[in-house]
Amino acid sequence: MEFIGSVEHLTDIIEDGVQVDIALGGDLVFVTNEKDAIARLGSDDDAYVMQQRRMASRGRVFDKEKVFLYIGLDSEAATLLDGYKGRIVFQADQYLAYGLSLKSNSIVVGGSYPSGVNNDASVLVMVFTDNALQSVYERKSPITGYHCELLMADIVTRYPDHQIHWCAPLELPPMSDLTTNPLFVDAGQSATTVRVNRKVSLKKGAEKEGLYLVPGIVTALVGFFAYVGIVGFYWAGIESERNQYARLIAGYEEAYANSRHSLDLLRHREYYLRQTAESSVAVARLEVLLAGSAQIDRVMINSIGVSARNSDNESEIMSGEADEFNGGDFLIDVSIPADSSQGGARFAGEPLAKRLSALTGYSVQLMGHTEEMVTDRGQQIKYWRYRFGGGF
Amino acid sequence: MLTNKVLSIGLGAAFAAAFLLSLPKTVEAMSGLKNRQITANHALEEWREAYQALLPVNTVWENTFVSASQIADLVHLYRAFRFDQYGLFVDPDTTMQTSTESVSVNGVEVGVRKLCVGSAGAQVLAVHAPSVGELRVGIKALSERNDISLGQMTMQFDAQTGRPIVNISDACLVVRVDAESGEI
Repeated sequence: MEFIGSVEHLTDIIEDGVQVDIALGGDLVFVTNEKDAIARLGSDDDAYVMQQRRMASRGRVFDKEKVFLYIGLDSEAATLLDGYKGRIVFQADQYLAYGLSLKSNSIVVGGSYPSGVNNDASVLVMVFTDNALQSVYERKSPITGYHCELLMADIVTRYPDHQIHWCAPLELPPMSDLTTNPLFVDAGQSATTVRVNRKVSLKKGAEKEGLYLVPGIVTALVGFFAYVGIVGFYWAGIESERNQYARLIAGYEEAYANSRHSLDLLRHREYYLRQTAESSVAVARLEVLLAGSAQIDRVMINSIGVSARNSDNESEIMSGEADEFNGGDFLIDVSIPADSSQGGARFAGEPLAKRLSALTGYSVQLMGHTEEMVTDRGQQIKYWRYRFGGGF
Repeated sequence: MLTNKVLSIGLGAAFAAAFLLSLPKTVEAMSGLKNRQITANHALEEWREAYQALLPVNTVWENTFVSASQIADLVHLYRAFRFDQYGLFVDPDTTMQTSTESVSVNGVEVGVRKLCVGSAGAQVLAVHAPSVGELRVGIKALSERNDISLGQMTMQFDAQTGRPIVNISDACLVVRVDAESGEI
């Protein structure tokens, strides 16, 4: 790394066309920690191109009292550097980073030789107290024992407990009270080994603080993605249930659209199918009545009728009017030869009804009777004709 | 003094906070939505189980009852009774359709209709057979069909021929009416 402290030296580098890494300091740079000073400098003339201020304290992000280092680059140097391809750093940034890395209170002394090693050095002194830049001094002085003591006397007196770190490229001063001070440290290349890359503004106005859109946007996005993530998690749960619903309803969409009716219809159809056919019940009863009536001695069956009503059917199956036999369930119309010894048709009918009840198992009542003449093998025979009704 | 960086991060944080602060309500609403969906799924599952258990009814239903569309006229209706298959005789020349009624169970129309026939314009259908025994067997077989509905039955003998007759009121063929019941 080339340490450059004057426009002449910089011009030489540029004209040589060597693209080396350069560290700017000395006459090319104005360094201060006083905001008012840099403000005056920026408004007075165009001699310097202001750089973005540097945070000059450690671990104090949210402290109200912030400490900054302000750097101004010589305008002529800035013009010369426009288009330079090599890496450019400020010596002040190197010393600032080094000073902030030290745990103890320190005085970091660095600088450059604007006109060659044996000439006056541009010395930059930074005082760090409690991990923050406290003071900045820029001085010119030859690096000799006597001059070094003079250079540092007031500073060492003001900060007697601060370590003194003497940094390259300044040559180590000759033996003197300064170098024999137990707090004196030969830092050598420590401050310049690791390059501190900061943006170097070569045009006026570029030093203004950026909008820092990226951190803001990133912070907002973190919140947004956290929101999206959590909402997405819940949405995935809902989607899972919806998919389950879609799987369940597949093929049943139309039926489920009218779900209650569909189930009711199927249940009623099932019930309807399970019912013993009423007609077969009625036929079975007709058979019973026919068989029972046929067992009456010398009976002549005129007709036997049964209704289709099924009293066992609890459900109401509506399909037209109910069958009726004068209020009963059946009607038996039979005739038997008249037998006057029984005291007349009326008296003969009662035991006949009881007999029919016993034979059929149904409740049989005599509903009416008449007399009629029946021709049997050419003979007119008197018959009593009975109508019996009843219920199952 | 607030730096742009702090301001930017602050604004970003405020934006993020606006999202995060609205989360509880959003989550609550979405949880409600999910719970409603779970309830709906549960109801659907129960319904589907019941429906699947009852689905075979449809097959039996379709095998039991012919479609009304297959009974285009009185000839088809008469043939559908298949009287001759049971040794019964019904005069086709005097047989007429007497009524049509839909069947409902507990007030629910189940999708079938009764197409009823009678003899000579009466509500009663006269069914003959050569003998009482044949008549009994035939009527019994006819009555065992689920798609046949027989009303009041009166067995008697023809005054002239002495043949046994069963007069059946409301002798009906039960047919499917898919269009009216709706496909299920």
